[in-house]
Parts: sequence; C-alpha cells; structure tokens
Amino acid sequence: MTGNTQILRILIQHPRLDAAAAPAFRDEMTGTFANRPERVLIDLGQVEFIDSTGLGVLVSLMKQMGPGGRIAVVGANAAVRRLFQITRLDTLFVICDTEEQADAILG
Amino acid sequence: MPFSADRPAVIAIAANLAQVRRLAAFLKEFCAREGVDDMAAFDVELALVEAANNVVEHGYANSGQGEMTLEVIAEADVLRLVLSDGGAPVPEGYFTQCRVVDPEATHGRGCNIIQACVDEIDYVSADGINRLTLVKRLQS
Repeated sequence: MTGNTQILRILIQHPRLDAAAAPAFRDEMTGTFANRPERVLIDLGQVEFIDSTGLGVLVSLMKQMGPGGRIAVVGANAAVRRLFQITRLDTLFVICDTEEQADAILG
Repeated sequence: MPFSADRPAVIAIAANLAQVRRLAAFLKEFCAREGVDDMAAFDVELALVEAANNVVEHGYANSGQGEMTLEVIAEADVLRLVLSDGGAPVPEGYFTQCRVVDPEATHGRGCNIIQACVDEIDYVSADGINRLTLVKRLQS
C-alpha cells in the first residue's frame, strides 16, 4: 500500500475477496481509513473474485470517507466488472481502465 | 456448447466459509473441463458462492456445524447446480422476491446477485433437507 497527500493508493492482495477473506481485509483497512481520506484509488489487479461480502467491505470503506469522498477502482477483471454492474455499484465507485484515468478523475 | 451427455459431479463440504472456496474451485474445474465460456462460468461460481455463504451464515448460523453437498449436471445447453443442506431453511419466497438493496448497504446483495447470474431458481425444503437448484442456460 502506498499513499500521498492527495490520493490514497491501496493495492488489494487478496486473490479472492470473499466472505472468508473479508474480516481480515476489513481489519487491514481500519487504520488506513481512520483519517477519513477524501480520494482513494483501489487497485484490484491481483483480485480474481469478489463476492457480496467483499463488496460490502468496499462499500463500508466508502462510507467511512464521509460526504465528498470518492473511490476509483483500477485493474478490475471482466468478472469483477460484471459484479459491479450487476449490483449497480459502478454508480458508487468509479471503474477505470488505467491509473492515469483514475488520477484524472480523482484529481 | 452443447454438452454431449449428462455428466454429474458431486462434492460434499463442511459448512464453513473456508470450505466454500473448495466448492467454488470444484465448480470452476468442472466448467473448464466442460468448456463453459468464461462469463457463464463466473456467473455460476458467483451464484453458488452467494448461495453457499447463505447456508453457512444463516442456515447453520455460522456454527461451524453441518455440511452441504453440490451436484453439478451438464445437460444439453444447460448447467444445473443442486446445492443441498440440512440447516434452517430460508423463508418462503426468499430467492424469488429479493428486496431492493440500498446502493450504500453493506449487506443483503446475495439474493439479487443469484437472480442476476442464473436463469432459473428452484428451492425446496422437505424432510430436513433444503435443496436449491440453479440453472444456467449456455450459448450454443
């Protein structure tokens, strides 16, 4: 995980962000989001599969950011993108093709 | 596809979240062997994982007790999954009358995801056994 003052960058290293992994991932993120970052870029390049529990953790992170907070997602494979579409969470998270695109949107 | 013949495959697991991954891996392997296209394979995996999580978390109340069995059947242009368990049954209409989920909700999307990922859902609870059947039609 890396970060700067403007955009917090998070690389998720759970290949399966599912109900079994969600508690650990939530714990890992607790301190990271304690300062209520306003702009977050989440890299899902190493994530092969997400279920509704994993998605729920991502939503809870967004809610911790408070009003005006924004999360962009990069590296989502076709299956993960489809999940965001099915659940309509692609309206809550900004799904980007590249980091450059995400940086521009979060700018 | 279509499939040339019925080829059922069966796996039984303990009802806990770690074992749900075994169930998913079993289905993925089956789909790869049968030549199911990637997105259809993802859809059934996701539907199965949501259904199995539901069994662990609600049917068996995260007790770590109990088990569930998955049977996967390849039929002509159809993939049929039958998930059986002995936990508490879901309320009547649970799989057919999903509630609308607030976009900012952190829970409660499983039912909607299952509906979106498969073409037919059937649920029967009788004699202490719950049997959820998920049917995915495949492109010819």
